[in-house]
Amino acid sequence: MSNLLSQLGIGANALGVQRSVSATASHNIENASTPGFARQRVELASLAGTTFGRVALGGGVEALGVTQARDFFLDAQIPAARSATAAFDAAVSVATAITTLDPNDEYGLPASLSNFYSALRNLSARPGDPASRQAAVRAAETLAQRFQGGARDLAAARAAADDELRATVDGANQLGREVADLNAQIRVARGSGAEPNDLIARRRHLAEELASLTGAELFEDHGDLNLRTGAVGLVMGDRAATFSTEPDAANGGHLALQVTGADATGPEALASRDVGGRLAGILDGRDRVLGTAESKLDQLAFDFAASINGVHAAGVALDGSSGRDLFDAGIVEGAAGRIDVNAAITGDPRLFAAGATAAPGDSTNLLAMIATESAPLASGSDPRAALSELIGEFGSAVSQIERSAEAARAVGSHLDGLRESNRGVSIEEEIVRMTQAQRVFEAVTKVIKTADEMLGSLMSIK
Amino acid sequence: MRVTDRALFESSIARNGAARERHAKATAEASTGLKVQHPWDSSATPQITRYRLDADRMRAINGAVGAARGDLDLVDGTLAGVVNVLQRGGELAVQLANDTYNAADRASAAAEVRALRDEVLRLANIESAGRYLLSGTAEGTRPFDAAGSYQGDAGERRIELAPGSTEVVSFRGDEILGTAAGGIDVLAALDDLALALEADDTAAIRTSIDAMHTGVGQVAVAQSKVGGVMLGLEIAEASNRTLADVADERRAELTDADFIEAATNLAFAERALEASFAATAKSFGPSLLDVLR
Repeated sequence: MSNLLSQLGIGANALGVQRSVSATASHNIENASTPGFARQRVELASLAGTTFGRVALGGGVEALGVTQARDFFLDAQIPAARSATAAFDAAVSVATAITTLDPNDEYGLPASLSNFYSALRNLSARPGDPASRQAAVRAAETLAQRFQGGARDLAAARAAADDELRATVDGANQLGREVADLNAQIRVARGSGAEPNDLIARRRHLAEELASLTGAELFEDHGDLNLRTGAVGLVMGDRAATFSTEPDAANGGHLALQVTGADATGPEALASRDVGGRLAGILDGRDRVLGTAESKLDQLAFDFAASINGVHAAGVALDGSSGRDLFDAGIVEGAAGRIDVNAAITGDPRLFAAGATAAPGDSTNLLAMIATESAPLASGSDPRAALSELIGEFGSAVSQIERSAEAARAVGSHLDGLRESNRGVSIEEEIVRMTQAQRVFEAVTKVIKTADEMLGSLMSIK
Repeated sequence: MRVTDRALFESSIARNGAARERHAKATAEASTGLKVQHPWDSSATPQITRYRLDADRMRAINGAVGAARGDLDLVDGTLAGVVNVLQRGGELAVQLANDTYNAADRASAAAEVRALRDEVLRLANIESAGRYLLSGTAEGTRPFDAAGSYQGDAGERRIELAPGSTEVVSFRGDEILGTAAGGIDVLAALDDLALALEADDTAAIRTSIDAMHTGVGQVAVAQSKVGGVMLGLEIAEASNRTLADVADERRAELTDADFIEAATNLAFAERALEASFAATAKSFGPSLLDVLR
């Protein structure tokens, strides 16, 4: 009789276990598309029961706990892969925001440089012709405007990168706080004896997001998931670092990155090499790719203006005056954004120094100005070669990053695929498991009913 | 390998995205005719830029050469006119040096010579759009005043025929019609002839015959020099045109899409996109949910 009663108890326990199996499968299905979710399983084990003489009877089933699928090797690989992909993608996104250096732009810098020299050549055929003089001055103005437009385009792209940097820093700070909070919550949950699988999966997901933004390295320490970049701890237990930005006067007022570590040290300045992920990509695209193009454009504008001015100042205007610059570019830094045609010449094209004398048909100085097209600038290349090199180097830098981004995406996608294969939810699997649990549940209820009937039979013996 | 639902959807998104990107790129290439739009589209952008600048330069040189040729055509026509006038002067001198003509005949011829002299002066002061063509570089100054005195300068204007190569395209009236290059003063020679005719001085008229012949030769030599410069400009123009075409062709090879290839790529990309959509739809199809009821 007591065995029949215990059988009822075992059956009731089994019903609970099967219910938890079904609930876990249901939970898996519900989270099939949740980012970072790892499928969970109820670990089952048979229970030892009672012994009747030499006969040992089983004690039913118990749920040892709920575990989640995990591949430690892939977990270690994926943050670095995501960081690399995010870095290259961000750099490409920042660097490809400009069209100024497009080689086929009919109104771009190469076309304007050509038009300027073309106008000088036209003028050389009729140096005294007012319309040709006006056209030459206009071509010089257009070229100056193209330099200015290029500088504006680059500056706007770099400013947009600053906005992106600020947003990414906000995102990284938010993620850092969330991971630290989850560390704290997981500690508390573990204190109650249960493994908080959902919190753990979410923490890893957010930590990997943070790694993709910052290039941080993940490591586990006494149950906490911590992150560090270089020597700076970004998340240490329940404390998180804070990234911030500060205008950098030495870099044209663009934002510099700094971090106050999770241990409250700092703030410490961070260069692009000190971080990884999206932050590094933004800094790299902004400063190395766009910054280099900006500096080279400034240098080209300055050198070009100096080259033309040197010749123009030696020439003589129609009014007999000389010693006047054609372009005003100021110092090297910011020259492309500042370059403009001498206002006196714009106002009176007769002051364009076309000749070595004031004679209206004298094109001597024009020929010298035309010769600057093939003469080395201070940088060593002539204006055409310098512009071609600038465009080529910029394109080469961007395409190199694009290729790296493509390779990184392929690696990341492969690793994600492998991990998804291991830990992802298969709805078919879960439905089968639910069905299996349902069948077992039904069978156990049958067992309970049978035991109940047996007990009833016993109770009815008179 | 387990294939999860999430992997299925993610790969569909990635696959369709990649197919869409290829399709967009093929569409852009086919519609613009360019396979290089941005500096990062090709490693050959420095060459593309350089070829463009080269072609532009050669065309710009030809623009200036073309303008100079227009001036030279006018100068050539002018000098041909002067030669004709001087030849007529020579004919009159030969004719009226003959003793069969009397003083009245010669006075009448003198009037014609005066008119010829005015015609040479008019021709010598030829202008184009307000620019005097025989003043050296003093284009704003009439080359000769009414007395036949040269008012231009000794400057010369050059234009570029090719990178590093220039040619003089200005002319000095004092060299062509005067004594600056060792010749005779053509206007003065006509004046002398008119005076001789008016004075009925046959000896002086005979002297003028030689002057007229010398003048014709002098201007004809200048005209042939103009012709030589024009020929040089024509040759340079043709050569520059060829160089510009070569630069354009090389640039086109690097930057322009081959139409057939672009159309084929577009058709292929369309087909690939459709296939990707079809595969995605199929992959969503078989599900245990469809059979479990």
